[in-house]
Amino acid sequence: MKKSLTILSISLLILLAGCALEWSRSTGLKKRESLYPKTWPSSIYAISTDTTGFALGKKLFYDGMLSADGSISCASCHQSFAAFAHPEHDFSHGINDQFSKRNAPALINLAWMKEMHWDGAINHLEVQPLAPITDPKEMGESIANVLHKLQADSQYPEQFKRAFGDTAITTERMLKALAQFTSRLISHQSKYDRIKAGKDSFLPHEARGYQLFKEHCNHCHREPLFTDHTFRNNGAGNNRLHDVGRVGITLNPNDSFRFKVPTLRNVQVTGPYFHDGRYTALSNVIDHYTTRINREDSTIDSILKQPIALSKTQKKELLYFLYTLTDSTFLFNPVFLPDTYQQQSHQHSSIGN
Amino acid sequence: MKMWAVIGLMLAFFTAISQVRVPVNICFQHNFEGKEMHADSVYLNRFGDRISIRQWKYYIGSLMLDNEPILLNGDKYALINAMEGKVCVLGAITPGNYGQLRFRIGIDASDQSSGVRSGSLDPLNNMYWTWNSGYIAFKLEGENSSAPPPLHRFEHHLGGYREGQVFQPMVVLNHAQAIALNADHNNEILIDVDLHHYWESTDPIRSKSVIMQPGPAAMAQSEAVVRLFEWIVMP
Repeated sequence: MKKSLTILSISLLILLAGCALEWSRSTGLKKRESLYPKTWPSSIYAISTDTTGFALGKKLFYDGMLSADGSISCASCHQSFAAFAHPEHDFSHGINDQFSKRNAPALINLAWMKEMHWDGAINHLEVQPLAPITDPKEMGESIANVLHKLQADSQYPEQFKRAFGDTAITTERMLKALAQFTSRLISHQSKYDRIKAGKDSFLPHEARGYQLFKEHCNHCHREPLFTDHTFRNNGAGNNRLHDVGRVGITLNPNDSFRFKVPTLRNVQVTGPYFHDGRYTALSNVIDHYTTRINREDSTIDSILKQPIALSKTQKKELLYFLYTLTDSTFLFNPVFLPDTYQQQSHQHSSIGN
Repeated sequence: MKMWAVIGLMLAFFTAISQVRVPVNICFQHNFEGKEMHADSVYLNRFGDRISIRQWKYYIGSLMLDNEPILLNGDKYALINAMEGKVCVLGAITPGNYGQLRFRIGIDASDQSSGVRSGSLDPLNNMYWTWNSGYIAFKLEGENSSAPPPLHRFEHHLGGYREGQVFQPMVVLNHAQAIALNADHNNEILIDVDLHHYWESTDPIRSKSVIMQPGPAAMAQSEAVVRLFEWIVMP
């Protein structure tokens, strides 16, 4: 009897381990405990490990059906290999060959971000997609039309059923599925992270860059998320669109020309930089903080009132440190790609084998 | 035996709960100085301006009769489409005599930043600012001869929950004598909502024909919205 019980227990354990392995293989997703380092603050949004909601959210993210003419998806302006920013575009393209009015930001560690967009206009991750979907210069579509198209599609009702239990397609379900995908865009496996985990070490020039970073940048781009999620005037001044930033939302004159402090994770690949994408190279951004700041603005951040002096060598060292924040595991994670890409990739590797 | 006792207690509990409240219909009769609401009707305000109304919608919540809350049927808020004329909202309240009705126009701050919502708060209802998260509490659109030509269009989208931008006016209506709400008859409270009062001593359209975001301009309309409502004395 005892022997039978032992055999049964071992069999059950093997079965459970097998199921867990299969789940992990089929989704590429990890358990909640390993989603991000324990040393990080808790995320402000729950990060779901549900695979069906994630799969549905990903499908929606890559689907042009969310735009009025089918030409623009979320991924059009948020490309995975660029940490979900839009490379080489100061302003992104919307339907009917229109330009958006701000630079498409990278989508990194959104589960820690209470206020979205450069001016903090959006107050929750779940409602963020409503803005680009309905903006006439971006996707130019109504929520009612999007739901209608999804309901008439041959695949979506079944996917909503898998994710939510029945085929009803509602605003709430669509946005929750999208949030399940976007909340999983977590970048925490850069060289910097390996170093912090004691598994790697800085090269000498990177280490000197890190010291410079802590001296001049860490106040706003605070570790470990490399942003303090505040809105600040970084001396960029006015632009041709007269974009006044945060004051447009708060109506508080003290918020004039204040914009969100972006994360520096993967900053090597998230250019063009600033809210209007004015700088194409990261070295230009460092030059901005050393020599180009417009100190005339009354709302300029107090920390920038004194010039930052860096030698040419120091600028390069700072750059080398910033490159250690590049997380290639995040940038090229097949789990974040559309399923069709994953299938093609699998076929290619099968052929190669 | 124990199970039956638990079931019995639960039944008694739910019976007690259901007995302590009676249904009450709160009805809003929308009109313009007694005239019915129609999108193709033309009304005259006290300044002699010609007015037509294309859309008129608003949220109500936090309903109270004296100090008793009115529980709405399955939702915390009701979205009222005033262009439908008479709109009734079903609620439930403890039986008793009541002489004062209070409710807020708009949505609590706590429900404005907690993610996507369904029911009356579904963004599908076109009462949500997608570019600046938050609900429009009161939407009034149409044409007014005092609005700038050539369209003479006015759009007042009033709302806001952020610091310094809160638009959630409280409507307080008193009845001449306390009314009895009990299980013996159909309980109905009739509120007259006369849009004519939106134009009182000043013309809000002439001063600002388009209000599309939270802020001082929206907040300045609070009084104009509150004075639309009057509790009708039932015979």
